[in-house]
Amino acid sequence: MSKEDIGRIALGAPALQQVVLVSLPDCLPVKQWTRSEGRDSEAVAAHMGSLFGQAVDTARASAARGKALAVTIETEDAVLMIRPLGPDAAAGFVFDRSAPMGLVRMQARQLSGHLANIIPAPRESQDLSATPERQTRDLAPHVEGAAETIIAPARPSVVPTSTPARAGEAPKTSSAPRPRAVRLLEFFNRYAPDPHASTLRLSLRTGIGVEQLANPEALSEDQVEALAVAVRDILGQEQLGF
Amino acid sequence: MLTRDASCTRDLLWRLELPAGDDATQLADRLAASGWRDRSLLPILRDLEGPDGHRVVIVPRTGRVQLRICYVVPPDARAGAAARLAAALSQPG
Amino acid sequence: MDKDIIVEHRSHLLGHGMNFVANIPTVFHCHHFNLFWDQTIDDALGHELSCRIRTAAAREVFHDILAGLVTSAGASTPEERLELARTVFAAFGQGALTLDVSAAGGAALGRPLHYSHTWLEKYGGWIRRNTPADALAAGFAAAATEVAFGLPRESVQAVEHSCVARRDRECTFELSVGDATSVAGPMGRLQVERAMTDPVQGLLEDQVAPIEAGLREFSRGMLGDDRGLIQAFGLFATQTPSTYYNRSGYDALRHVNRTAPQSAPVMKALLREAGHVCVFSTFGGVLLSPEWEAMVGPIRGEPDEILAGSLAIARALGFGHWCAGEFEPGQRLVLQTPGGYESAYYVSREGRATEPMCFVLQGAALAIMQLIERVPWAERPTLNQEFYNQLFRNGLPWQAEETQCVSRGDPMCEVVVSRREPGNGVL
Repeated sequence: MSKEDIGRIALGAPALQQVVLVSLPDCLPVKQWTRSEGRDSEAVAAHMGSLFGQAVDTARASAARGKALAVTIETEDAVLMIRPLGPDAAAGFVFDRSAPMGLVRMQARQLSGHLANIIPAPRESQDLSATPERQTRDLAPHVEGAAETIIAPARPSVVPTSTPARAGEAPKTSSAPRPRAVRLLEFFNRYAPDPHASTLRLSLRTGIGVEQLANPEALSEDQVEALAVAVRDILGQEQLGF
Repeated sequence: MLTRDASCTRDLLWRLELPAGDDATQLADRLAASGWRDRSLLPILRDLEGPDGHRVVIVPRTGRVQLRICYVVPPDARAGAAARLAAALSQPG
Repeated sequence: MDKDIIVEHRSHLLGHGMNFVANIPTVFHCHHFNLFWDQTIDDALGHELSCRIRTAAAREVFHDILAGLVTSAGASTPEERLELARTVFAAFGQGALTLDVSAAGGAALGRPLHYSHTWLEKYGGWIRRNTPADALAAGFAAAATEVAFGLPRESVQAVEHSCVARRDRECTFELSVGDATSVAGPMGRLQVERAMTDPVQGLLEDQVAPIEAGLREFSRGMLGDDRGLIQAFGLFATQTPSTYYNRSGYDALRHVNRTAPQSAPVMKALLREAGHVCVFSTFGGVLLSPEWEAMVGPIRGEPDEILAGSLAIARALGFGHWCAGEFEPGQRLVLQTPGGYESAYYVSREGRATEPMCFVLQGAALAIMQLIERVPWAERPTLNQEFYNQLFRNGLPWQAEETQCVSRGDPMCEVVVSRREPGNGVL
């Protein structure tokens, strides 16, 4: 999905100012689009994922039935509507407050449908080393219009391996159920900042040796729990989607 | 022509190639004359700061021109800010 | 109060590559290093203890700097002293700090602050942070309160409650006055001079010396901008008292040695990595910068040129008088120095070491070899995170070993970079 894809979808909704996509349930930002440059879409993305998760939990706690369709926040000058795009992603739409609420709901629903059709599959192939710098393109002075930052975290290219996927390695495929520790380390290696140091960091945080981390299937339950805490802390996540 | 400069991270540094015949030193003088703040530490490197906090760093001996976008500009907006600054600098005197 | 007061009080120990402000050792570091260093201490100790140790380290050393500066500036009232503190903080590139304090404590507010701002710049696009990032600013605010109101050194506590790195609107600190805690001994120019060994000479000196002189002149004027940050060389730089790094790092390592000795080698490897990311990013950024092009000329990428440039940068920024004892491109580099900011601290505060203790130097030497061999300089590379990550894809081809260390009683610190032997891991 490119900037142009989202931009085209947004064409029919002139009151739409921003679109922010986050992955679920880990709530990490995936992609953003802004009509004008004055807004810090990274900040919106950082808050939005957990907001949606909390809203869903709140709805469940209140015994609401049925799946969550939308979370809406109205401010004096904007309306933020968050809608799920399936099990793996959610989209946040920021509209001008002047837009009628009926129109906002309708357009958010329509836009969600379009985005759900073009959003990358959760396991879509991407460069494991992808970073914001790499994924944005050079802009000549004449380039105008909407700004985009692609901040997709690295994702594995195929079904994850039985050993932690390291940047640049071709993962092996496996059909056997994989231990929780393996999936946890795969998840961490997809998102970890400073990937070359990620194993050392987990080792220092948990006291589990580097050699042991190379064979995660042999870790004890206590060790896996300690790893999960470390991963949550490093990524700043309350829950992990692995 | 405007491209990301060496060491650019998150769209903060841009290299501006001036059109053939344009003089980088004259650009520095023009900016200083129009009220840009001269932050140069050494005469061999001109460092000028504009009203928006963006800086234009010029190496007179090689003609290199680097735009340093003010870091308070959100990352999304930096490429656009660089493009507008480059366009403004390209306007004749 | 003018930031030039910092320029007036900057000094250099020639032949040893050490910088001082008000006779307290300082060093220029980049945000990559700063974030990685603090992160490693967090990893080792957990955030709460790490934050306490880092805040205490900052409080101690900034107290000494501010006490020296208020005396020489004749700042006698609390208001004058607080204004001086605000100026010093910004001049060091640490950010903008507002202090609303009395002799009983109070509050401080920061925005932007170097650590939280650069954490968002570097990581904010794809991960979140739940803990505050500005222990150095907290320690500074405590020290400024102590000095402004004549309170005992290490008697004010500071806690950061909200932080921009956590996506809070601003960074806020609460300051309270308690009893003086453990008062560390002095760590100033005198201690550094005593800890240094005789100057050494190395290869390429005729190239290194003039670049060093030019860079030193340039860096003397390097100050934070109106918002209190230093944006230079494609990164954010700070001038930081080296005791902040040394005390926090060695205190944390001592704690790990006591509580989880099996993790000590891992922590040392991460401290080395801090030195590696520092030199690769900062020195690489300097070599590609307009500043370098103006002073030295466009970079060509020849091995001697990169090596000489790196040595000169290290000396000018306050790392130590780094020399090349031996150099065989792609094969072997022997880096020597009559001590550096790490060994000066260790010798003065920690006593005699039983093993080499200059972890930043070790990582730095390895990074110099990487800069020489693995950067396509002619292509004007972007030394960003992606490029950096690629260096490690298939393992590093070299290894670094500190073969001599002043902290251990050797006549110099020496790191040998050589081809990695098969089977040697990261530790």
